Amino acid sequence: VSTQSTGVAFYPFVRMVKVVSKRSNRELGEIDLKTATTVNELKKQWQSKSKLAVARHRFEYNGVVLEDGKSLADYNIKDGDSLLFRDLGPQVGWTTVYVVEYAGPLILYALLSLRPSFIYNSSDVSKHPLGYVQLISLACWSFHFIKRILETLFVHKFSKGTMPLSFLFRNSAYYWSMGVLVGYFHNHPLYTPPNNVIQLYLGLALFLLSEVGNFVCHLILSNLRPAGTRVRGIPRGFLFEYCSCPNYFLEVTAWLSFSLMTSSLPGLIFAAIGGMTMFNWAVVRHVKYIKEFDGKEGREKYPRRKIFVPFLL
Amino acid sequence: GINAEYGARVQSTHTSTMKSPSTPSAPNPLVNYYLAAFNLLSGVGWMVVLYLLISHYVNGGNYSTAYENVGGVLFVVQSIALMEVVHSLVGIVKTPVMTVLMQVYSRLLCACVVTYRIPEAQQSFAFTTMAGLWAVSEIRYFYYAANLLGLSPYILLWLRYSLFLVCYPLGAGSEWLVMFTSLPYISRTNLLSVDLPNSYNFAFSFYYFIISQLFVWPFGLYIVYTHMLRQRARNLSSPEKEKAN
Repeated sequence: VSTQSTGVAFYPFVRMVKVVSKRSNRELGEIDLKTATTVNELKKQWQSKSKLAVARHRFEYNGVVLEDGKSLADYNIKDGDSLLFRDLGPQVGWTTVYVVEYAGPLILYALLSLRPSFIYNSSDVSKHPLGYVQLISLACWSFHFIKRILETLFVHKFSKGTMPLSFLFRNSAYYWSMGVLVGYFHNHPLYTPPNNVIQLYLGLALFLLSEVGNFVCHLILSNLRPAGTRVRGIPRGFLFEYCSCPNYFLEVTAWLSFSLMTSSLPGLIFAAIGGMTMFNWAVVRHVKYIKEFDGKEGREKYPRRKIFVPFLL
Repeated sequence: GINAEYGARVQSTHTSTMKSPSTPSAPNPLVNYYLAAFNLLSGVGWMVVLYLLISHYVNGGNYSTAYENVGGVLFVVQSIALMEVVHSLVGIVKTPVMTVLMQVYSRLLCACVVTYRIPEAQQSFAFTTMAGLWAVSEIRYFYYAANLLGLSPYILLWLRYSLFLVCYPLGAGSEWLVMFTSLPYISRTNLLSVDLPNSYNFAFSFYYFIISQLFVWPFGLYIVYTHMLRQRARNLSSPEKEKAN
């Protein structure tokens, strides 16, 4: 006998639960719980019975999705109750997706800098070897994506372990095609560098500042969450005092600076598409923060902040 | 039983419900009247296009000169459709912006870019069929206007969800032919194309762009057609028929 998080002193033993398809309302089977008391153990039982990987399971009880790490008692599930089940389809890990989608632009841009003859006119290539600005562009581009891969492996703490497999192809298609778009024009023999050094070095300086700032933001976010948990906290310090998602904002400024530095419309296109997507994400994140940190029941109240651009938006 | 679940997929946030552009998102009567007026105006505009097209032939005209009669009005009427994007952006209509953009894109490309600039496209037979089929399928504007004014005559409902069966494939085919006919001119004149070197470090070949659209068009038709088939099944099912009658 122990006090569960529901405050009930005695929790009746659950021997079996039924699994019902959320889509078709048909009963799919039963889970014999044996000694299982947590959601994780329940999912493991269902995995061996249904042959579906745990990552694909989505169980619902009384309108609430069962979260890993919680116990059955947290949801007040009783013996013989029905759980609504949905198969999320083949899943792939976040880390895998991120590494694959970032490796593409890194490798493709570098390959294009070798100026393969089936892409570029060889006589033009021999007349125009890679210039100073093109080398800087190669360095900055590669630095950015190496940084992203390292952050994925060592810094980021993801709240969900997996995403649908189709996202891998969708995301990679976007990043890899951007890699080709920018890489093709920046390594082109007929590439034109900016005609004044101010533009070049101002762009470079702003790019580096944005990259460092973005990294600091990622560190702050990562430190908010103890390893292995899915805790969400209010980010504080640095630019987080002025907006909810300065990491996205600094990413956009990095690419705008990169475009300035290289005098590049393809770079601007990349910045624009990425910027619009990240703006949408920032709005969603901002709304989530406000909803979760409403100041009630002992929770902190989310401070007044802009969404995406410090002081402005 | 369990195996049936393998077919289930995560609902993508990008699934567009593709509501009709007339579905207003706020019950503001002024907005409703504006939208009704907009749809009526567009519908009438397309009737004018159809009238000019038919009268050209009735007066003994040839397909190579059809554009002279119809082209100007067509351009104006089709350009007005750009407002549908604004309506969606501003939020007075529930349709997502991406959906409206895709719907309007094919028209703008064919009417306001290709036919507007390229003589071979204007003089093709496909121009006549394209303009005519567009005009016929734009009966949908009257359907929207009626809905906004609270009316739902079954004949408009039926037309809206039946004309497409013929108009969409023939229309898409005509658009494809118009684009195909325009290729030689684009290649000769480098229309709307930019070459390296330039200070923006960007190049664009309208010729290859149009070729890429020739490959995309059949997929676009498939998507739009199957969507309309589902809408037809939903809207013209028996309970609705009895209600409307």
